[in-house]
Amino acid sequence: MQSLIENRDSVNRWLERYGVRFGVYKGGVFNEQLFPFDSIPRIIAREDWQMLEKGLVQRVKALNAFLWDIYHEKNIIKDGVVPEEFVYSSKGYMPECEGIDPEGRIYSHISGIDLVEGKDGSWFILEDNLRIPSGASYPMIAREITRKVSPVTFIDNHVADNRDYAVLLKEMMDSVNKGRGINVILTPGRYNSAFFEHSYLAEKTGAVLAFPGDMTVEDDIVWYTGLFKEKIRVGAIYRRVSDEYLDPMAFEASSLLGVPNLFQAYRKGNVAVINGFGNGVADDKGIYYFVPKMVRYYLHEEPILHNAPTYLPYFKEDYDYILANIGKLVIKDVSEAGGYGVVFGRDLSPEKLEELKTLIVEQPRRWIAQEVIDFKDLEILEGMEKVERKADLRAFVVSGADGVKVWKSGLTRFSRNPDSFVVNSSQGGGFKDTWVMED
Amino acid sequence: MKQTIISPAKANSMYWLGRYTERIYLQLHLLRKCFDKMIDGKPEDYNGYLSSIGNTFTYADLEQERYALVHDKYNPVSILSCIERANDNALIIRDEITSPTLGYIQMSMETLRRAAADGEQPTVDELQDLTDWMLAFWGSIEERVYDDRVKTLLKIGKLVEHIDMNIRFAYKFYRIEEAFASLVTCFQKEPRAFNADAMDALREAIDEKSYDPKDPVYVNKVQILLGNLVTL
Repeated sequence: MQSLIENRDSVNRWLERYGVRFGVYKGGVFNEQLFPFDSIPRIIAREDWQMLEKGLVQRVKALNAFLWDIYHEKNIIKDGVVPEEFVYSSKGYMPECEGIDPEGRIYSHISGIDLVEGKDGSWFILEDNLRIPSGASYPMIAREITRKVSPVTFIDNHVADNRDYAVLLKEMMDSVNKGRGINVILTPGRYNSAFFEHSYLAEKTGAVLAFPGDMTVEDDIVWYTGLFKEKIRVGAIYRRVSDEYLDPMAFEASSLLGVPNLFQAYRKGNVAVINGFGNGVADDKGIYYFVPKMVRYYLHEEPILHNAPTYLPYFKEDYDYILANIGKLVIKDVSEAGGYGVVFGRDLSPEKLEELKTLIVEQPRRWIAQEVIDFKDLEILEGMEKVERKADLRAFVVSGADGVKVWKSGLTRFSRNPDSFVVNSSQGGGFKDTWVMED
Repeated sequence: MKQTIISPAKANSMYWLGRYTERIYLQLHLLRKCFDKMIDGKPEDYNGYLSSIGNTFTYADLEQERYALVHDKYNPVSILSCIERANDNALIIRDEITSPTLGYIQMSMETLRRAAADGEQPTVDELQDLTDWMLAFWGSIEERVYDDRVKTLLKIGKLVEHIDMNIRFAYKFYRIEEAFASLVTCFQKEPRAFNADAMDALREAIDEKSYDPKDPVYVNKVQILLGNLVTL
């Protein structure tokens, strides 16, 4: 490990060489910056990983079952497990998806599940990201580089190889592919914040990196258009464009990022869209509260992984608790993502707390509240000094028609600000490799 | 096995990546000659370089000029500008050219950006590193890219730029003739990428008897034909 720490400049030079960056818009100006990498990995013991793996598979199976149910029978609503207003008032619910049957009943092919480890070693789920979870490419390429830079580190430590993520992705895409068409990764373009990831995953999976305008739909079949009007059928689209911009004929008419009539081709079952349309209803922060109930309802199992203690102002008991304890809770706006819309009660002045209470009273469905978890800090290097910072883990679960697999690694993000719990790269966070130990 | 289908936008990036990398390679070579003339030559000895590369910027003194021809990102003919444009195109086609190949462009760009930020004069080592990385870039294409079509599209850009720069700097005819022969091979492989009329006119213009790089009318004519040659 010491060798890896000593060679961190070398690792960063290699990351720079491979163009490992993410883009940020500030004041309307696009800037690309390196995603700060910390050489000290997060280490997960084999036994812990086995538990996490089982729990993640269980959770994602339940979430996919929920999505299928919501867009078909709606039994979970009929049986009173999830109140219907949480489903139908969710911004992520898309009535257009009613009755659509994606291959293998998989909606969330790539699930990015955010977890934190408490100081006592217990893990909590913070969020389920089922729309376009990003970030796997960073630990993927970091491992590629660190193994080269410091082979002795990996001789001395038996770390599960995580360089198979591209294989997992490709196998999943192949398993849901329609009509033996090509697999493509659809990027919004060069100036998207995650463009590095799109292009790198295309390179590693052998999928074609497609840009807006590269695909057309004719007779409900999707075609990739090559030079001189050559055409080839598209069987699976790993899209990195949000639902609302993905088909201007079905959704946001002004979108230039999508493929006109793609939704119709999807509805007809002529192309797989990864992740499926309409997943937002299941990764809504309000629906998160109900995921353990989904596990019991669909799988008849006890949840292996636990949510952070969460309160919904929708329920009277929780509503009263939140208003009485707002100063010690973290309040989240269910419609925000990327670390935005998260407020710690302890950081607010009495006046601001009152304002927040008013908002909760006026729009109880818009908010959730959680206990602040005293999660385990991880060591990072600041200069050559080791300091402790808050960190989370995004685990990636890949679901294809042939099963559910958890990538033996993950993106560990940390806050560089000692006083902050927010780890998102868009807000200045860095990343670490995640080691799952073999013994 | 990856499907060999290339979108028009990617084909365009391949062409321009070929052009920019060749431009950087040739310009570095010519720049070293220009810098040498700046040591003890008169302005007329090195001004030809500046006009031939299309420089329209003026600088206060020779020191600033030396710095800017490599490091001024606002001057479109500087090496840094060219490498940034090469990078813009290379990023789009990472999946075709591979990350290690892209790495040579990235390294060149970051090295230049750092030197530019430090306000340092370009050094011979820095320029040689850039030359080496441009050569390594093409070696990496040869070694790592198996799709002949991708190689052809990159090479078309490289050859068009090569001919353009060689005529601007009045190189001997055989240099142009060799490059043009390679371009004709590309035309045979990928005829639809070319404007056939411009190709015919270029065949007539690139002839030993009519070759006259000192005649601005001739140079202008060939440059227009080169500009219209590729339809990507």
